[in-house]
Amino acid sequence: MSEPAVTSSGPALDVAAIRQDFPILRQSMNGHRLAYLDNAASTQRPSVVIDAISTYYSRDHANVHRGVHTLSQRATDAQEAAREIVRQFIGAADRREIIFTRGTTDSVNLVAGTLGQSIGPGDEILITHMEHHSNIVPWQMLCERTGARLVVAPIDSRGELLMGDFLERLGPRTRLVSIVHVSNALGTVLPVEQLAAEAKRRGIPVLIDGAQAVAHTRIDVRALGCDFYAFSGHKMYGPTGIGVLYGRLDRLERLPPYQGGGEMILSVSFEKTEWNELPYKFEAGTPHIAGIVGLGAAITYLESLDMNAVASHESLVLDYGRRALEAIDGLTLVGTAKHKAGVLSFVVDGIHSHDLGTVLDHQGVAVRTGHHCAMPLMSFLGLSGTARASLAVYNDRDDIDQLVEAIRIAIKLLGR
Amino acid sequence: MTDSAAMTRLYRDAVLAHSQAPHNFGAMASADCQASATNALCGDHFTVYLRLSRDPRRIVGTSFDGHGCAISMASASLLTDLVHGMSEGEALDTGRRFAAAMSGPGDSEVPEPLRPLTGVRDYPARIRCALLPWAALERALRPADESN
Repeated sequence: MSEPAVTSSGPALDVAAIRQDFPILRQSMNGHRLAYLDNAASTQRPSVVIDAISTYYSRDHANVHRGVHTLSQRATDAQEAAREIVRQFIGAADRREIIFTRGTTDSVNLVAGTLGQSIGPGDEILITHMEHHSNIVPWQMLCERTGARLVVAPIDSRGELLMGDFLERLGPRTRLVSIVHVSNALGTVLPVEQLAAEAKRRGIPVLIDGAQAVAHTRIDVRALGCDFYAFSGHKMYGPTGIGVLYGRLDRLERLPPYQGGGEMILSVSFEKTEWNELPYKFEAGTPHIAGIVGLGAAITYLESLDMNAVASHESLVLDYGRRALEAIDGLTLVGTAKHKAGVLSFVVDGIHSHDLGTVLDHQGVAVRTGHHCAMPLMSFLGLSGTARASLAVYNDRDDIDQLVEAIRIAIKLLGR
Repeated sequence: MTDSAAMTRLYRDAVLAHSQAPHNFGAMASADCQASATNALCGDHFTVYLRLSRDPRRIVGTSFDGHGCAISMASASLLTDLVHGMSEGEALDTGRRFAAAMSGPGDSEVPEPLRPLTGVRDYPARIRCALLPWAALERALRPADESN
């Protein structure tokens, strides 16, 4: 389940048809065909997602779980239907294990913010050296609050986690392991199933940051053996501002509420408030209902493509891209782990990544440049930043060819 | 912004020449004041070094070191050429006029020697690159500025 795309196979995708599903891709960019290769930052949305949100607002909207009137019931039904879609999509056992959040960052903060009550001085949180800032900073804040210590498992220069060092750091004081599933900066696919099994043998809960994984490979949280799994809607063809925290029921039950407010309570008096049941205990305030509906539509869309076919297609394009970039003189790929998902991070001799990004943009190629919110990783690699092309289901060889051509133009213009 | 002319307006020959062979590059051991500025978004970092004469108080030596993109390197190189010989007030004023011309409403003129950077105005995301060395300059001169 956590295996990279290379091992999966599925029916070939009709990418030309898929591109038609995404209205934003139909425009030209700076006089060129748009090659959108910044999917690790945010994917685009298919019409079905945009329409679902529009339909929700124009036909079904009211507040959820509050009113007895028909619209409120429709909104509630739409939200809970989406929760069920998410549950099935990630293989969770129970719909109460699906908490809607603002995104991956919010999901990690939810756990960091509520776990604190059982953490004390000398306790340890174990992460890896290739985490996104969103899986570093919440734990640093937790450590500051509780006197716990943030322990970092090292990686090698290819972007591979050093398993022996990870296991050494999995100690008697480790209270939580929080690891990325797929590195946003390098594309490394971590052996999360194995890591979770090692933690589980020692009774340590595991949180997986799945932001870069869910849209690209089939996720089964039970097979992964994790206690928490966090992801965002906007990196999987859904809306921004909506995300999910999956938490195993027994873990969630033991955590106190995150935020106080409406929806998360059963009864309130000034003396005593009774918490609502799961998942509402963690969903204070009116949720992003339209976002939830859009997320459900995005998952339904992904499922209609077949996740194995998606993984297989992206793996082929990744492989094609890797070879094409390797053939460019003066270009160095950053992150060459054995198991990789659709991320091609690279530097070009003598050209700053921002200059490269600007020239590429002029050729209609959208990539991310900079440190990718992973500054500790960049400083370990001795880089101030990279250019990163990241894939989605609508990318094809044409996008890669356009990228390569644009890089050649940049080298001609700016190379020394 | 959408044509290749804009691209060559941004990366003018003068910009490329300055970025690839920057003037006054290197730390200055005998600097009277120095300061650094970092762009947290990309990690680009510059230190500006200044030597000042006493009477009249003028900038009589400039250099910089650090790393950054073509735009910020060229801006730093141009800066060290331009503020050489200026009073502190003139240097700060030049920086302010440059910042206003870059990010202001558009009718303020880019100071003449910095004209090669005019094309940056079309790239809002890159304006901070052009202004980074000037932030270091301002920081280096600010203590003296406040004592005036």
